Formats: sequence, structure tokens, C-alpha cells
Amino acid sequence: MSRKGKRRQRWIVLGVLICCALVLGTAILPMSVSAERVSDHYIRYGVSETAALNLVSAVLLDYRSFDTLGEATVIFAAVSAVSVLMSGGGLSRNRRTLSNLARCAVANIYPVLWLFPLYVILHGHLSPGGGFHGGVTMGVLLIMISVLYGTAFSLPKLSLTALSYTEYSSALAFILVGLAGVVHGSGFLSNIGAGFFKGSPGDLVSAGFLPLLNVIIGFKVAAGLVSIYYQLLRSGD
Amino acid sequence: MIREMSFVAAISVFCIGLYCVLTDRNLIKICVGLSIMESSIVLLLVAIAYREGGLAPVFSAEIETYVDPVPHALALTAIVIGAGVTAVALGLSVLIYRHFGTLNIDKIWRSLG
Amino acid sequence: MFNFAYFLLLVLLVSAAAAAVLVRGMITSVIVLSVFSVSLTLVFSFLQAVDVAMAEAVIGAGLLTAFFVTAISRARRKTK
Repeated sequence: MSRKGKRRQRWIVLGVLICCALVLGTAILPMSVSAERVSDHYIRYGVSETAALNLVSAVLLDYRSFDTLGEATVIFAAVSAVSVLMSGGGLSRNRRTLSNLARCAVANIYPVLWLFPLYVILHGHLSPGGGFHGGVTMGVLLIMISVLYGTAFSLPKLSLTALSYTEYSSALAFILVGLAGVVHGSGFLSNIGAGFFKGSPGDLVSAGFLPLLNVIIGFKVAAGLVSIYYQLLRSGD
Repeated sequence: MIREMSFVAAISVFCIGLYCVLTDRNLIKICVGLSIMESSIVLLLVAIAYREGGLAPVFSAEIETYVDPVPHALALTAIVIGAGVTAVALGLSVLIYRHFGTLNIDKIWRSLG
Repeated sequence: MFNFAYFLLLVLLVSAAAAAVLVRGMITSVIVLSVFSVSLTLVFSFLQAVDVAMAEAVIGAGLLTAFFVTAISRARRKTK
């Protein structure tokens, strides 16, 4: 066997060994009892403490909102990394568009498509969804404009500077909302304890800062993803 | 039964992704394997959260048992972070193509000397 | 019956993952990856994880495919 074949064989054997270890590990995976106690508390008292019907949003944005701040930071880091990596070339401003049929078909239904992320973001605390889902959909809709009509059309209208400013100000707004709790005296990113309006479960305006954080996260994620798309398209000369 | 089947499926998909990352020669296929590995771990998290007879964790007065909402929040974070990592990996692949002119890692190793 | 349907869905998931790895060609692999994402969305719906299913649908099947195709279009011989 050639040297390359022998090296490949060694990698395959190593992979097989890791696979066996992982299969054995999950077959005897123990379930921790203390974690179930935490989840029982969130399920039983989640609605009465946060006034949010969607328990996953309550966990993500109220009980564990610091982890969501970390996730927003990771998105920011990914956008920065791609911007630095692809900074060597010029932004592509080509006129390559899709066919006439595609453009006419989408242009007629495009405004209606924006209703979905709007609904999902604003009702994030009442039904499945939230800031991330709506933000990614908004980003995909903006990328669709760039794909349909060409970057020569979409870049002057939605420049990279505007996207960066949206992302920075969303990150700052997240932190300012958290600092409101510190100013009040109850803790960073505390929701009802910091005086945000609680309301009754099921209303659109309820659950403290959950709708506000959903909107902030939606804008941040959308701006970040469109920035990544523009950076990946750089021409590289 | 459902939980054990999901565990086995998640680890099998993880091993398939790992095999792709280890043995494939094309940089874009390696990114595909990386994305598959990340999705398999999200499946593992959601399978841990599953309770027999539980329903979706959106509050409604008639429902008695819900599935666990905490691993769902972790899974949501994991999906978004996985997309970010895949985007950076793709940026690196495009940069390597710009520099070396090829996506085949054997040729890249050879040209490095 | 529910268990058997779920088992078939998991078989579809693992076959889609294996197909994404085994096919030759970058664009084909990316399209099979989006099939994998859609079947993973179905699995999440079976496991009553509705938030995670929506996220996997928009991110896996929508956004990642767009990123992959963009990167592939930048990494082939430019026809100039």
C-alpha cells in the first residue's frame, strides 16, 4: 500500500475507534436528576414568573438571558472574522441578475413575505419563534433581493456601513437593556425584577423586555448575516 | 424507545460527519461534514429533552406534561453558533482557494513543500 | 405505529447524511445537505421541539445552503 493509502487507513481506523467510543458512551448516558429539578421549576412557574407563554423563549431570554448575550457575541465574532478574512478584495458590484420570470414572480409577493418575520419576532413570547428565527428570515429576504437584482442594485441601497451600524447599535441596545436592571438594583439582565411591564400572559405587550429583546436580536442577526453574505461575495483581486 | 433510537441516530450522523472531515479531499466537502457534525449534536440535545407523552413547551391550560424546555434553548444557541462557525469555515476555504488556486488539500500540502 | 414511523424518519436522516458525504461533486453534496436539514426539521417536529424545528428550517435549509453556494461560486475557475 502506498504511503498515502497507509496514512488514509490510519485515519479511518482512528475514526472507527472514536465511533465505537461514542456509541458506547451514549448507550450508558446517565440522566442527571438535578437538571430535572431545574426544568420542573421552569415549567411549573415559568408562566407566572415571566408572563410568557412560550417557555423556550422564557428560558432563553429571561432565565438564561446571559447565554443569549454570549450567542449574540458569537455571531458578532463570526461576522468580524469573515470580514477580516475576506478584506483583500473589492466588493463585487456585478449586474448578474436572475431571469425575468423569477424577478416578476418574487416582486409581486415580496412585501407579503415580510409579514412572516414581523409576526414571528413580535409574537416570540406567545408562540414558537422569537428573535433568532425572525432575524434569520429577514436576513434571507435581504439576501434574496441581492440575488435577484444583482449586487450593483442592492449595495447602494443597503451598504455595508449601514449594516455594521445596525449590528453595533443592536449589541449596545442589548447591553443597555441589561444595565437597566443594574441601575434599578436587581441585577444585570433581570426582567420583571427591574420594573419592566409584566402584563397578563397572552397579551402582545407583556412579559417584560422579551418583545424588546426579540426585536433587538432580530435586527442584529439579520444585519450580521447579510454582512457575511456580502463579504463572501468579494471578488478577491 | 424513541429516546434510545434518537441517541443512536445522532451518534451515527456524528460519526458520518467525522468520517467526512477526516478522509475527504475537497475543502467544501470538509465544511459539509463539519455542518453535519454540528446538526447531530443538536439532535442529541433535543433527544435528551424528550419526555414520554410530553407536548411542545408552549403553555396551554389543558396540557399536563411538557418536554424539557432548557435543552431546547441550548439547541437553539447551538444551531446559530453552528451556522456562524460554518460561515467562517467557508470564508477560510474561499481565502485558501484565492491563495493556492485549488480546493484539493493534497495539492495544497504538496505546494507547501 | 408512531415508533415505526419515527424509525423510518431516522433511517431517512442517516441515509441523507451518508449520501451528503458519499456523492462526488460539491454542488450535489450541498443540495443533499439541504435534504438532510429538512429531514432533521421533521425529526425535531416529531420530538415536539417546535422552536428548534423552526430554527433548523430557516437556518439549515435556507441560510446555510445560500452560504455554501455563494462560497462555491467564488471558488471555481472564473470564466472571464
